Amino acid sequence: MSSTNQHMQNCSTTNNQSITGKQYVRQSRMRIVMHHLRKNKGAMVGLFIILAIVFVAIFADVIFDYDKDVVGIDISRKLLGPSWEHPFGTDDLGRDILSRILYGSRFSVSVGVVATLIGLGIGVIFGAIAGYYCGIAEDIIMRINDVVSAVPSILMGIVIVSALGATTFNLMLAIGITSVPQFVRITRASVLTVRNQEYIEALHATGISEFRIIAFHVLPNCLSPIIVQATLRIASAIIAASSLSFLGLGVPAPAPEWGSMLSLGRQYVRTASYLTIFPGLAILITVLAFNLLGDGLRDAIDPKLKK
Amino acid sequence: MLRYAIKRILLMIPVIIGVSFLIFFIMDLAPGDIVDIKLAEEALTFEEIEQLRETYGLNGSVFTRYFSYMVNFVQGDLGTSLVSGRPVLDSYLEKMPATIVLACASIFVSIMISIPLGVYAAMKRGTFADNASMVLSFLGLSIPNFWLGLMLIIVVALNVPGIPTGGFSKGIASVILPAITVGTGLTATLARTTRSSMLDVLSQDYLRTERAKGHKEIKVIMKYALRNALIPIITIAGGQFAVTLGGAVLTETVFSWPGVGRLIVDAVNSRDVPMAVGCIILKSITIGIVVLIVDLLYAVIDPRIKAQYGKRKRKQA
Repeated sequence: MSSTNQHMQNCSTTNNQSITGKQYVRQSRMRIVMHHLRKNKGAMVGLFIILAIVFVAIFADVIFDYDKDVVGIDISRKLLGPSWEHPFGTDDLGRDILSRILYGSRFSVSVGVVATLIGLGIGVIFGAIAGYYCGIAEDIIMRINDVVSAVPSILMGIVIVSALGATTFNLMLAIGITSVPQFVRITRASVLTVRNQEYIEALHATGISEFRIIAFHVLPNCLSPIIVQATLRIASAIIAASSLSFLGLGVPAPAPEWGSMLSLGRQYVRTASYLTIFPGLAILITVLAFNLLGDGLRDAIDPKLKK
Repeated sequence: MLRYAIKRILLMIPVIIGVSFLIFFIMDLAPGDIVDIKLAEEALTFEEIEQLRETYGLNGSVFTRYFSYMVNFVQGDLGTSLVSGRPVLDSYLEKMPATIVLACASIFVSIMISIPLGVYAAMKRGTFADNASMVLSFLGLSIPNFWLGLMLIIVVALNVPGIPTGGFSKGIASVILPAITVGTGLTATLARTTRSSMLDVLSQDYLRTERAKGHKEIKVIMKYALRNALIPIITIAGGQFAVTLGGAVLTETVFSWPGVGRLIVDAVNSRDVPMAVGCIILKSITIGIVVLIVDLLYAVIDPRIKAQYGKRKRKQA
């Protein structure tokens, strides 16, 4: 009896050890990534700036009165240069540029993030199907992918937005669609490396549905490059959104989108250059922050890539 | 190599068919067409509207219209602009010289800055100079180039006499700012690629051998290291050149540059379907051909790739 107890105790100890070991391995993977990321000063600066921008975007309503400060017209104070009262000056309708830029972070960042999520969602689904099933499915998906990526993304964006109409959602959709080919390619490449591994074969043997295998066992093992790509893609989506708004195809007026603010500034480039300088700096800082974080994340996830 | 080139050109055909259908289909989703735009400008009778629709070929389903468009396309007819009434090909070719000048100037600016910067950063890896050059290239990557164009207008064009704020009428002086604007974005990526590629090569044994032979460092770097690092650099530079050759839409808008990019934007905005579809097809063909030429250039630069083509040929024989 005592020997049986002893045996059970041993088993339980072994199980506990294995669980602890498993947790340790999981934590250590995460820890390694976080450790590398923390050591990367650029990535930390990027993360700090992003958190600050997100904070401003969330609490923009608390800081400013949208109707009065952001879109309220007051011709008596039009085109005032930078001063203590209006640090970044005012535009042709007397609206405060600083409040519009800070409120505009809401539009620019949300367009960047949602557009990336749209591209990510569609791209990962088709990339996973192409990589996992191969054959005809792969051929069809990759040829469609070739067609979409053959049109430069800015042009594709222009065509889609002008066809569907210049609204915030259509802008997100257009930018999202232009980023699909990148996500398809990167997901397919990652899935191809995972699909032939032994544990996938073992899962097939257990009779689990292919959907579950792809969703819960293949994709989680392909996440690293996709996350890195998504972070970097947010930066280019913000630039794409402001580019389309600059061409008059973005967030409709009077919403304070940075690209449309630049478009207005272009008309006053000789007399009120501050209308151009500050919104552009806002785009630059935001894009730089996402690029720094994405680059740091890539180095942290795969230090071999760091050169 | 000829077989490879022909195969690549043939592979472009389905892509072009796909691109044309995609653009044709998306533009068909747009509410309103050229007749509606004309209707907003002048009052037309019902008969006149119907006649205009017949003239512009706007009746029938999207598939019928696409089919007849492609039949004409195969015969070399890209259609006529619904706005100007001029053949699409003529309008495109008329705008092409300005776009070629801008593409060549911007890739020149990019190569002149990025390759020395990337090589220097790789040679001084881990030093302040390396970090500074990479921070610069990171900034270049993050600057929206239309904003950079506007900044250059504010800082340079409005203060330096002789540099115009836009247009293509003052010769070389007109090209400087647009070329810097487009070139800066390209510089950032190219400098990072050059550094990365040089780092791969700098650790190779054959460079140590060259140094042991007593060659000067500059010769070792320029003749032996850089040449071996060129393939990825040319791939990136070639791709960027191809895209710019297709029209730098935003820079052309900022500087009122009379190139292909603006032609396409104007066509899309005025619902001029034949012009938009024709220009985008021509742009895709241009990009495809330039990328193919770049691929073929590999064999000229790297004798190992040329030898591979030869090997395949011998095997087939």
